[in-house]
Amino acid sequence: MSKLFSLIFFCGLFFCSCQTPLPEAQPTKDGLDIFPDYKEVTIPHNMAPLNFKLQTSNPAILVLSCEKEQIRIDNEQGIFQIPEKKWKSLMATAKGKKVKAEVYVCRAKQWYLYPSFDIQVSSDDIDGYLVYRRIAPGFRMWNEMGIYQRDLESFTETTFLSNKQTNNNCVNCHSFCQQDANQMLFHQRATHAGTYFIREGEIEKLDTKFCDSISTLVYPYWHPNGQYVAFSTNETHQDFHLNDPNRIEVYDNKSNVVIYDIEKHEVLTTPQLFSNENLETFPSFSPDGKSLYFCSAPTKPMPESYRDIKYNLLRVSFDAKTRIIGTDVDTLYHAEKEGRSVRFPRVSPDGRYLMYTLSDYGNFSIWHKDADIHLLDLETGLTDTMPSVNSNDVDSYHSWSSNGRWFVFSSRRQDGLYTRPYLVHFNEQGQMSKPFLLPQEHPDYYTLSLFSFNIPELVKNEIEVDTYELVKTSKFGKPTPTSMRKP
Amino acid sequence: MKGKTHLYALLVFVVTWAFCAQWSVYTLLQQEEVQLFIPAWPEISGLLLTPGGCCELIGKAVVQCYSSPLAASVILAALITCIAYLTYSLLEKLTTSRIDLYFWALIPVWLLLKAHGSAFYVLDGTIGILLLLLFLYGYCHIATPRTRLIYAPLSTLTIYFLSGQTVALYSIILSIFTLLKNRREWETPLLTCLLGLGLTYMHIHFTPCVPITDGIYSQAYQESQLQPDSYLHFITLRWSGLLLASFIITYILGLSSWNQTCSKICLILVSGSVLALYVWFHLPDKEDILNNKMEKLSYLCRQKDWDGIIHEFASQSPTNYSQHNYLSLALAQKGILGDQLFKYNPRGPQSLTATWDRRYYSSAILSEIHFAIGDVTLSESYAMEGLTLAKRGGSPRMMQQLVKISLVRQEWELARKYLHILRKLPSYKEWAEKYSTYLIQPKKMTEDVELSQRAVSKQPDNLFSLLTIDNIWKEHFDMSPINPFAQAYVGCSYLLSKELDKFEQFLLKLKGTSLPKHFQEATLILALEHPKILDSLNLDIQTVNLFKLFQQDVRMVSKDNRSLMNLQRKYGETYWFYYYCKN
Repeated sequence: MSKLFSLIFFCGLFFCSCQTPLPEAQPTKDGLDIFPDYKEVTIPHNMAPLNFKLQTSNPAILVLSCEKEQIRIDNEQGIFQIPEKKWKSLMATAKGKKVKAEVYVCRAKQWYLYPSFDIQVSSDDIDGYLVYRRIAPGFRMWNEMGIYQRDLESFTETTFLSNKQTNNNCVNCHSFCQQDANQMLFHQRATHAGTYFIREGEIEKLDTKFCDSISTLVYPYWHPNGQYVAFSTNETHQDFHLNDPNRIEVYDNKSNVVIYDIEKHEVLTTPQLFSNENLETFPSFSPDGKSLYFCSAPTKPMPESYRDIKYNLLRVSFDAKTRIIGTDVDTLYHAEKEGRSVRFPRVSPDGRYLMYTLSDYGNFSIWHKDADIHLLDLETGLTDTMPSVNSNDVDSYHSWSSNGRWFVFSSRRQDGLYTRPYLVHFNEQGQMSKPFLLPQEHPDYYTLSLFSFNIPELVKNEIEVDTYELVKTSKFGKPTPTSMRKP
Repeated sequence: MKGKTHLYALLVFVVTWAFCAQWSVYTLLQQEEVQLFIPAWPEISGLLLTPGGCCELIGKAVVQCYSSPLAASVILAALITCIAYLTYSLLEKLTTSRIDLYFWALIPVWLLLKAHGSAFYVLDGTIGILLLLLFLYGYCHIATPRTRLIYAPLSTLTIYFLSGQTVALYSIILSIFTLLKNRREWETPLLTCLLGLGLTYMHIHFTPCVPITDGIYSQAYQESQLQPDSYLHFITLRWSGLLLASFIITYILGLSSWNQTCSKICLILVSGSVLALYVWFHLPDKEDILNNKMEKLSYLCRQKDWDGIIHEFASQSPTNYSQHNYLSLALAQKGILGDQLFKYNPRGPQSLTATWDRRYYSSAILSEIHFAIGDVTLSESYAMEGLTLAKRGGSPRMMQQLVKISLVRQEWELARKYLHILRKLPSYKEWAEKYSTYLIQPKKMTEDVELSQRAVSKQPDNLFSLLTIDNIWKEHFDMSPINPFAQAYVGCSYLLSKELDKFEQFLLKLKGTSLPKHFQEATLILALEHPKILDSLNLDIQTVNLFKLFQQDVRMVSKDNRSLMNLQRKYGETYWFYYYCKN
């Protein structure tokens, strides 16, 4: 009996170790339709395998090669899931070079060889994790949602916080100081509402009811020194379009910008950031911490004037030592002159470029199909409309990697409704590669998923927090009192 | 005793099946509608690798077999019968076989049966309980303490991987069971309890879950949660409490001898009475009955059984706006909304479209109504809410609705996505294949009765908060060919809100057509002030004569209740009664 088992074992081993030679295939010039589209993309060498599938379900073979390193995947349905170990080894060889991808497809018992495509493997690292909120793109209500962190070098995704743990409330607006997962904040709405700071594992819940004019803190951005966070305070409303591809309109009746001092638990602002005449929102600091960028539009009667609201891109100075906010306001994008509306200003870590989202009007770009990402060179003042990155659908929220060589953004280009994270290489000359969809273990993942990926943020390390403690604090913890320094 | 036990099992099966068929079958059927289970390996493997995921997997998979009321009630009856049998077998192991054990065993079973009548409960809980009992059953059949000492921790670990936090209850039940059987055998209970509770503690601390301890909160708290986890804990905890109570009662009763016939009868009477009292106090209440009715309407609507919906209100008018909405839709689908609406005691315009109450069922019916009228945008918004609010992962029914809407909106990629998912669901594959053809040949949609009548609004865009509902609806009956649903809904909405000035304008568009009964009745009221209106409209002579009688009768009515009731008896189904006599 044992001999029989040995024979079966060795036969199995033999068959596994032998691979049939590549089929004799007829070359074809037809375009290869794959999902996700990883043709001619640039990826970081420390990225998880780019698993993809053919749009037609046929037996197929994928051969990935770089110098002597080669991976071959055979699949009956044209679904290519690349073993992680082999992929890592290939990436190590291909760092700074190209990987050639050849696809053989069998149709009606005839093998065809499609034109090969290259994958450029950049030697620029990408930050190790991507943090996002996953939520169904419901119109008025939410149900299951959570903030998750994805290890970009593998397919491991861990839950930072699921709203299962917090009575199905809304968790949102996660934000990190300089892509550091050890300094972060996020909000909770509905039950256990509040703003939560997590610094080096310490959890703090804020009581954000400062005054009648500020009910909650909304869009955050950390000062690079980690002592301040700029927030907008918004009185937001949602409405529906009768007959527009954009479906939903979200607008502010009122909004202002404040700076929160984490150590002193105090909120600062100035009339330039906090006025009834203008809607100030989407603050962000420059990497040197000396400037505060924000968007602002003149207040108009809402919702009647919703299409006339166009946000300028403005800048004021900020002195972190004296906590003085400058009074001179620079206009970087003049909405009335240029005719469109700006949001989400984000300066590259080297301070040279400012990336922002631009759409025809309003401030909630995720429901604006005309929303695109633009890049302003702060040295030359020139704007790049990023045609290689943008699509015909929503392209919105973006976040830089800590080394400034990559950025991630949200796009609805796949189906027009579900937001997906795309990654782009940004080289030293300010040139951008073709965006590629965050790879998943199964290429069907995005097609089967009924969730959107909100606020993708690249971070250098994994968030380390005792989630149980966090939930306990949110449910039973006393909020830290805060105050407002009068302007 | 074996024959009696078989008879007991058979009785439980029949009673459970009858109970389900009467009280909860539509709630069961809705379970399939509000859970999305994609039988694909990534989803299955994801569930199998999560502690407790196996129960969820089985629960979701079994629910896919709820294809008809009969199938749903038979499946549940079979599961409940297994649980009842296992519970009885465990009680039997604690004492000598007695008839009263059948009654004690049924108390926890009834709780489960009742739980299935709630829209908040899902089948996973029952699967978890069945697994727990199966492992316990295996345990009590082990003869030697040493084998039990090995089996108990192994089964505890297995239960943890299969049922998740239920392991805490398993370990407690197993320990108490063991101690009741043999108080000297303390090692096994101690080890099992430590392991079970330890695993649960770790699970709560290190995984994103709803702690089982949340199950101690009130029913109102459980029902306020969007996802079913907490409600599952609520039921499982209560079931465990009842099972333990049954164990302890059985054990205590087993201490005395019940050999005399008289004492046997007494025991049977007492246990039977306790069961009867428990069942009496846990019969479906008004809310359960109402929910089951709503779910029945939802099911009939999904089956497009419009006659079935109308039949539901043959003897009793709708009791809330949602029921009115289903009835109005059914009447409109049968083309008799304008003839019969006031027969069913409507209460204002919300009888046509109720205010959205942030629940799945309200989203589903509002989406259906707006789609029938032709408000594709509104229908989509409610379908999206339904998809989001569905209990777990989405709703295949709402996805079907979104496919139709996406096709009408010509959002091909979105339609393709939903169809791709639906094609993977065995019960929806055929439907998805049919609709997939429209992606390849969009012109074929003109042959589809439902889709060809829908179109994206051609009105200039505006925000809904700046529009009124009749503004939106009016567009649809201006279209050619006229959308009869929109026509009926607009007309009836004016009648229900008693806005006869708007109705007068609306009538101008109906010149030359035969007016529905209620429209004629409203026209006669209008004609009291504007007699010329009758020149261009054809009214039924019987209706005109009846109105004359109504006017005479109304003049004679004093304000006492009896005369008003007489008037209602004669004219209660007319618009006149609604207009003049109802606030």
